[in-house]
Amino acid sequence: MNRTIRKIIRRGLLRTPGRFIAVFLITVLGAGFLAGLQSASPSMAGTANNYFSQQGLADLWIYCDKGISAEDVEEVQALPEVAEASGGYSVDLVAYANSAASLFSIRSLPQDTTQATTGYLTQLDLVEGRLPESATEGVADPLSNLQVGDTVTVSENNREGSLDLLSRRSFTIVGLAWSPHYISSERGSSSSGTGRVGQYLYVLEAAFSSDWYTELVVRLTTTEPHSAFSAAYAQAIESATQTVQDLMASRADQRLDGILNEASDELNEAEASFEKEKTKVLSELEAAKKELDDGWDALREAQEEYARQEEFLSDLRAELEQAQRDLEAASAELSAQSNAPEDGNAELAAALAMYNALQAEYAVADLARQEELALQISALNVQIATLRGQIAKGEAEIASGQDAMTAYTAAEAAIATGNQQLAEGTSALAEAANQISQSTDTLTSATADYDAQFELANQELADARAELDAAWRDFQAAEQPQWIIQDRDDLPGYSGFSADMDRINSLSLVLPWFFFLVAVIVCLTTMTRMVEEHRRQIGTLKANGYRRWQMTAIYQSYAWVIGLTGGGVGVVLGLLVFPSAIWNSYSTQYHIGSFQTVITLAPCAIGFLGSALALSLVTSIACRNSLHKNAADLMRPRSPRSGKRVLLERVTFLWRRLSFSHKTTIRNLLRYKVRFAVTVIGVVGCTALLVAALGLRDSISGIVDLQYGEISKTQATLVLDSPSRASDNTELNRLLTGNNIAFSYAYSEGIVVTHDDRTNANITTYLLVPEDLEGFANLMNFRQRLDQTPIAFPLDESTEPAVIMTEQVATALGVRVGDLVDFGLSDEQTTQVKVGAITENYVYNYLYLTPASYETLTGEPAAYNTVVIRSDLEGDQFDALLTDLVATDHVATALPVAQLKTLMDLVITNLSAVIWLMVFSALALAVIVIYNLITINVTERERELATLRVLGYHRREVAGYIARESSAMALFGIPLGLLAGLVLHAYVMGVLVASDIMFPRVVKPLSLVSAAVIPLLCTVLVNVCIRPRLNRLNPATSLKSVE
Amino acid sequence: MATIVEFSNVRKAYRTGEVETTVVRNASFTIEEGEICAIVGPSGSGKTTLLNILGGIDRCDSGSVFVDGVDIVGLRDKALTNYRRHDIGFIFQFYNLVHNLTALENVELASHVSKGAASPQEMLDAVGLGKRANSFPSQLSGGEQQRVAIARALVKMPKLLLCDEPTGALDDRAGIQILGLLQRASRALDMTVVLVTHNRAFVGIANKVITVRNGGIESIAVNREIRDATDIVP
Repeated sequence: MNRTIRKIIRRGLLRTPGRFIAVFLITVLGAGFLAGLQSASPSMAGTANNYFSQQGLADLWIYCDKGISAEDVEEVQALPEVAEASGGYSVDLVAYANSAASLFSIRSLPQDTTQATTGYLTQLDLVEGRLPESATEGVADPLSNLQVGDTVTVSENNREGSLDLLSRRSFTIVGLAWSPHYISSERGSSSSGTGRVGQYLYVLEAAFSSDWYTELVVRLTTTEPHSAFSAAYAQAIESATQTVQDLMASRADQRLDGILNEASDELNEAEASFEKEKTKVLSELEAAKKELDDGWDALREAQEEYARQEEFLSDLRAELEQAQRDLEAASAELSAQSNAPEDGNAELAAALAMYNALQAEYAVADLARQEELALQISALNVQIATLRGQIAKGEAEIASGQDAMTAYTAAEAAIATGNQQLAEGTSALAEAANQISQSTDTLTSATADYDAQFELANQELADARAELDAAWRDFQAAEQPQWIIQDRDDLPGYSGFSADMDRINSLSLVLPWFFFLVAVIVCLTTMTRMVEEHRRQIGTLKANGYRRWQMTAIYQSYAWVIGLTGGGVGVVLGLLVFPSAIWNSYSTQYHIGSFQTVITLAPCAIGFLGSALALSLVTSIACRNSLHKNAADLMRPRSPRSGKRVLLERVTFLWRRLSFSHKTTIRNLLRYKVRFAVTVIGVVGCTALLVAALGLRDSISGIVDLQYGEISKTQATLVLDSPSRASDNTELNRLLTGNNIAFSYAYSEGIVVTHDDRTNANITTYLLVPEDLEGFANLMNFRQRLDQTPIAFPLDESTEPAVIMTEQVATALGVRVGDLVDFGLSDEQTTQVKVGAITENYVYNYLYLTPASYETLTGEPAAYNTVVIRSDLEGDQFDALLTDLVATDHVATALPVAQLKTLMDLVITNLSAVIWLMVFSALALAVIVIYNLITINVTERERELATLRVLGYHRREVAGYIARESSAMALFGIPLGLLAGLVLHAYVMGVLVASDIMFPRVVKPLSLVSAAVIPLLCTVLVNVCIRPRLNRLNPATSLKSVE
Repeated sequence: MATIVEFSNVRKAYRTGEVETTVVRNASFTIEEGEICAIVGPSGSGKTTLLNILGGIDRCDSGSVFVDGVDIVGLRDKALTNYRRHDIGFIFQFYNLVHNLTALENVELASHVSKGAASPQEMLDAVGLGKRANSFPSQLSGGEQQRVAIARALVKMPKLLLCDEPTGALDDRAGIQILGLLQRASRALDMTVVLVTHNRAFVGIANKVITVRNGGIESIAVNREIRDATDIVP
């Protein structure tokens, strides 16, 4: 290369700075985009990998349903692949902090925290405070609203088994720290609480009390040389998982034997104690029964005795009454008899008196008279004798009457005694009756008690038996302990991050090539033009004996200078701008240490050397025509491309209508088809990028508008302490109904959904079973996205239960309405259900089931653990209402939707960097492409323009002549660009799908208008910029030369 | 005959870096209405510059150029453009047709912006190219292209027809045909024609011959024996 060539090269660069700058800039843009965007994903991976190794993130996590022993840890540690294995604890528990409940994932740190900074797996990255030093201290999640000094109190309402793992119930926060276990804002799902872990809490091992570890954390040696997310890493994980699995399988047998022996001992013991208990209970019951029977017997005897006594007494009473009556009769007789002897005595005295009188008379009296008197005296003698007999008899009778009297008196006394006895007997009897009735009552209730007890004892015994039987059945069916080996992909947010990187990667595989291609085409036209312009120079050099390679060298060196400098600057700028801008857009979602741009060879080499090579190739294509011609041909002006009729001219009536200048424009546009195509591609690209960029914004803000404007009317979700329902009389329900709140109780649980046909597609999502379907209809609007057809809830489930699925889940699983999906509830039972409908949804994914379907599918009624609510209140008033609601006994915490809106705004703010980047790149692309076209147009047609000036065309008209062409290209490109933009936007949105968020494919009309107007404005701007150059055009000089 | 062009003391210099080259100095002459004025001289004598100044596509540094009573030296760019648009017809050595337009359209290019323009088709008929109206320049021979250029210049019915070496790129026969056309046009339309040529043979058709040398006017001669273009023997 001699001096002349070098001079030409140098001047070539300097003399046309516009061209140099244009080619340089487009090279910078192409190389920058390529290197920058393609470095983004490796940079993310590299940053994450650094963070992981810095924080000692483990590779495998081993869980066992039967717990992990120290021996297990040792066995795993002994494996050659294992660098380090350690046992630890983790448990998900509902706890209170600052009077709000949340589901905490409580995980253990080793006892000696000073060691934690050196060798322990999964080290924390302290943000504030210190690591715990005692069992009552803990380190909180920086994403929670906990502060150092706060106290976390574990609720007693947690499952007993889980609660028992902890030896402490309350922890003082001594620090806030990031954990490599949680790289995203996702905290994972859980079988406890609402199914969504709210935050983590690290405490010392001492805070746990369990014979078994709950997890075994393993770091491998085989993964050490490999970067996380790499294929080699995945392979190492796979083989190590296999090894661990094999070990665990053998361990499992031993463990099973051990467990079985222990269990059978325990069971036998339990059986024995059951039998003993049963005997005891039965004998006790027997005794109680006997006692009761004795009681009843005694009662019966007492009753019989009582009856006897009663009979005796009534006999006695009758006897006594008879005796009384007899006595009274005897008494009357007696009193009559006692008068009789006196009467006899008086009669006797009278008879004696008469006898004496008669005797006397007799003595004195005649014998007649004597006879008569003798008769009378003998009669009187008889009478006296009779009377004497009578009296004697009377006296005897009286004597016996005296006896009878005595007997009477005795009888009277006896009767009194009898009466007394009777009275006593009666009262005793009354008492006895009383006693009998009392003891009857006692016995009756005792019997009832006994019956109840008997029932209870039997029940208890039956329960115990059943339990024992179940235990025996379990024992018989005892399976090997289930080992679950998880790797990093199972960490919350880890696979999401990996997917995000893949998305960026797939974006970076499309968008930069787009730029690169446009850059190459632009350079091709520019270089072709340049070589064309130098035609005579080439001819002259050739005529003077310069060789072809020497002339090629001129243009190749031009190309390489621009290619290497532009490529270099582009790669550096690209590496500086893109990876960190993209990282920033994800920084709200992830916490993976501080960002480092990882310089990967391939994209940088492609950006740097690739642009140079492409330019060089482009240059040789541009030179191909000119350099092969002989000098004479080159010295002659190239015959200008002849005009051609365009198809439109055949449509004569239309063609005639066109103004003269429009005809020219159309012909010119079609004359240089490649240039036309390049410019249109540039405009299409610019417009498409603008649509995608502005649409990105629309889509993200559209989430809020659509999700919380049209689909979900929910204002907040209340998480309940314990399951409840609307019909319960609780303070909460009174508050809800009293405040004019639309609400529905709902059962919500984290589930894993799978679809048969796609074994690797399993989606972690939530099941929602609203209690009040009608009320729920006011809170959630089910509809199909494409045609907005409303979906009825409940679905027609006359044949079988069906589920409404949110669209993102359906897309991810690849299922359609009518397909069957499996979902696993937390207790690991899997249920199959038909997809009844797919509903439009953007944030958080759910499967909706009616309570009836849920019960049919799972066999148990839904336990409503949340309440979704909507009120007419907003802002502070609503916050006040929420505070009131949370203050009630039932509500553990409230999740207001407003938080999510704020989050979305944040995402938009973070993404605005990317959006501006895209807008700027689009503008740069448009400006460069249009500027390039216009300069080529102007240079190439300088003569034509000069002719116009000579013909008296005003500057404005000449400028219009040029502007019309570029505007026409813009107008042609913009509609195509809008279409391409919608496609690109849909693609970008599809690629950007986040785990819980589906971006609506919405581009607002304003964005479309902006995307259309901005390239037009660019065109206008470039045309304005080119005006001075047009004005400088000197017809006198430009027309002088030969054509 | 009235004077239509009057140059007085026109001076023009180009400055390239430190060097100033005077291409026209103290040029004063007049051209009468309806005459054919030939400006002759060797290459680089400044004759094209004079023509360009007259045509309003170049400006002089001092002096005045009155065209139809207006000093075009003092005109602003817009007025100068209007002047070119309505009053001037230009013919160049290399035709300067727009390649992308047909012959007719090239003529329309001028008629489109000019007041009182003639019919382009008629003008093409007049230059004998009525049947090639829809041909593109590349389909026409040099002479035909120049005739299109003449038609384009004449269609505006300009006050001045300025021709810069119109036969320079043509063979003699075609050149003579073009000269004849110009002469006929001048006569038929009573049009003032300024013809710049380095070929002395062609001055026979001119009423007045201005000879230029080294930027100055060497002589101004009135041709007493005007010949028809067809009579010219090159």
